[in-house]
Amino acid sequence: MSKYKNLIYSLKRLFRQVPYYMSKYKNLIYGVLLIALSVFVIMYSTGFPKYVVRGHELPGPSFFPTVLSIFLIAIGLYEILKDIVDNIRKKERKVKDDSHITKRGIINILVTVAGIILFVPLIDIIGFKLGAFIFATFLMYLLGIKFIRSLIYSAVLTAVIIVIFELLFRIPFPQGYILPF
Amino acid sequence: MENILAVFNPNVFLPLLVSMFFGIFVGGIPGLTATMAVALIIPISYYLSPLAGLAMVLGASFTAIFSGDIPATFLRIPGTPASGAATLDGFEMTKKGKGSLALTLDLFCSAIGGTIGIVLLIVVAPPLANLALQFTNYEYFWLGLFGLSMSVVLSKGNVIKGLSAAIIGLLISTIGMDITTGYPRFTFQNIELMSGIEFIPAMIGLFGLSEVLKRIQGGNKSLSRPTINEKIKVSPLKALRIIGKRFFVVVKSAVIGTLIGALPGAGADIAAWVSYGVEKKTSKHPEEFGTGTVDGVIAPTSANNAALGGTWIPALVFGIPGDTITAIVLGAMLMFGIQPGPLIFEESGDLVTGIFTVALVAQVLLIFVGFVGIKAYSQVLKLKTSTVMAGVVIFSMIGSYAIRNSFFDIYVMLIFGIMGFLLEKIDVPLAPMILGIILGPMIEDNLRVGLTKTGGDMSLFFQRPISIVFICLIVFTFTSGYLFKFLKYVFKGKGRNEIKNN
Repeated sequence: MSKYKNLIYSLKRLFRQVPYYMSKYKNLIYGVLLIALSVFVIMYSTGFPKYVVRGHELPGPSFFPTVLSIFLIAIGLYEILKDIVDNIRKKERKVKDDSHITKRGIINILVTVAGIILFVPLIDIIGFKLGAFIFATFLMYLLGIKFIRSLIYSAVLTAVIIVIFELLFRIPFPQGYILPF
Repeated sequence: MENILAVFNPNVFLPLLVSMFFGIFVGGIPGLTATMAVALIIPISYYLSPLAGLAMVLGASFTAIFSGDIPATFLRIPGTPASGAATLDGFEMTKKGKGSLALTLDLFCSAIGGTIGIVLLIVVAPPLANLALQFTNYEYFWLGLFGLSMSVVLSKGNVIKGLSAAIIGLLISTIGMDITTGYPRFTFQNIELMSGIEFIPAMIGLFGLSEVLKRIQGGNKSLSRPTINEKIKVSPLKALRIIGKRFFVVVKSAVIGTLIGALPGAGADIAAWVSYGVEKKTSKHPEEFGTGTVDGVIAPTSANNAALGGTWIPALVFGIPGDTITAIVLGAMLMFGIQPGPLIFEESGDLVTGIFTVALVAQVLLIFVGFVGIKAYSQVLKLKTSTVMAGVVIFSMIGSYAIRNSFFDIYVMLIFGIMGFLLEKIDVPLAPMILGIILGPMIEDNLRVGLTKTGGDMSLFFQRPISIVFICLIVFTFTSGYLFKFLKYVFKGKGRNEIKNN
């Protein structure tokens, strides 16, 4: 049992250090991601057809993405080298204090993102308007508004949305197949 | 004189006023653009006289462009694409508790910029339109790159990261059907991606949702405070005093905005970015840009409304739309039986005089209607941050959906929101990315068509006089900072340490 405890403790410690290392090597990570993206684009673009007019090959669909990727690789390499040099020199980095992320903040972000992802399948069932009302209530409650207030604010918000988008601009909101709202 | 007074006829004046309130309302909602406001006005305008109908179009477009700056300043969510540049310093001023001052400045600059744009439209319409007609693929390619280079150097963060963001934006613009060959690129057999990434959901995600994620990351404590920590007090005299001291900036930005607006395909959004970039580059304190400086608010907001006047130059004189709004206007004119083109000044001279007068009157009305808009919007922002943030998420989703009634665009908005949130964590500016998405098709099409014309030879891109001017401007954009420091070093002996450090 203590083995597991130790493992969990070590993992927790490692997890806590992730933001530090992410911050320390952010340019390096960005550089690697840029190169990975560029290599993917170049490889994928090779499958595009060539653009040949009267036997003469002209810049085709792959031309522009490939040129852009080459520039991006150069920038990626620059970011990696810069990060390595800066770390060797132990150059101090500015630390932004306004980007402090808390445990509650992570929950807020994850739930908001998950809510948006689930919103689309949800409105297939209960319709756009009811879906928007439920999601708004849920989101406000999550962000610290009392439940009754969340219900009232969400009802007002939904009413405003219906007036603006449906009645004024005639944008059709999809209805759900279980509850036609 | 009779034509001028016709504007004050209730049959013209009342529709103008109503459309201006309508523009304020539409422009302030993220996802609903000035183009949409005009498109919605058109069916109503058919029931009116040509002058009253066109007055409604003008009124709605001018107010919608200004109104887009209200959420851009208060929440960092541009109401319309033309407000993207206004988020930079306007929002920073709001963070410092000067949001209402930023918007008052914005309002006056929009009205002054709009007036300058209209005066230029009246005075220099024909020669400017002639110059625009000389633009070929080569010039448009460089114009696109110039706009992009501006957004790279003007953004917060370093230039290299800005450049990478711009290139990522350009790459995103390649998603979808290739215009030349019709081949689907990076669509991964997804039908929704065939028509490419719609830039409005991308913009809402990058600026709107990412801001929400940034605010909720710190937990719920900070969310219980009102969204803006200031009493919204509009002080026109203070704003006018500030503008008085910087009147040259307003005029310069408005002239740049009009010139860019006059180029077909380049509208208020590009005008705002370019003028912001020019102002930053020529400022004595470029380091203050992006931190909530007054000049950073004045330049883009003067230019975006001025650009509207500019877009009417090719529309009226040659029947070529300067942007999407004038494209709709040209359709409306034809419906009224008016043929835009060089002969319009002779055949419909009365109407043209009426249009010019309406446009000038609209600038005065904008100030009153704009104040009402700011006041109304600020009432909403007295609510707790958590309520407003939840509302922003819902409006962002619906705004993204409403563009083409597509759920897919909600996911696009989400992906760009997460991307924006993470990119800002590593100091990558977001503005060049969105401009990359907007300008990507223009740059790629003109590059490829130009190369097709020359059989793959790039040399013609560097030979034409207007192209050379743009190339010089791009080089100047990237090097001017160093150049100014060097000149200071040579002539005044100042900045030695800065040069040494660099």
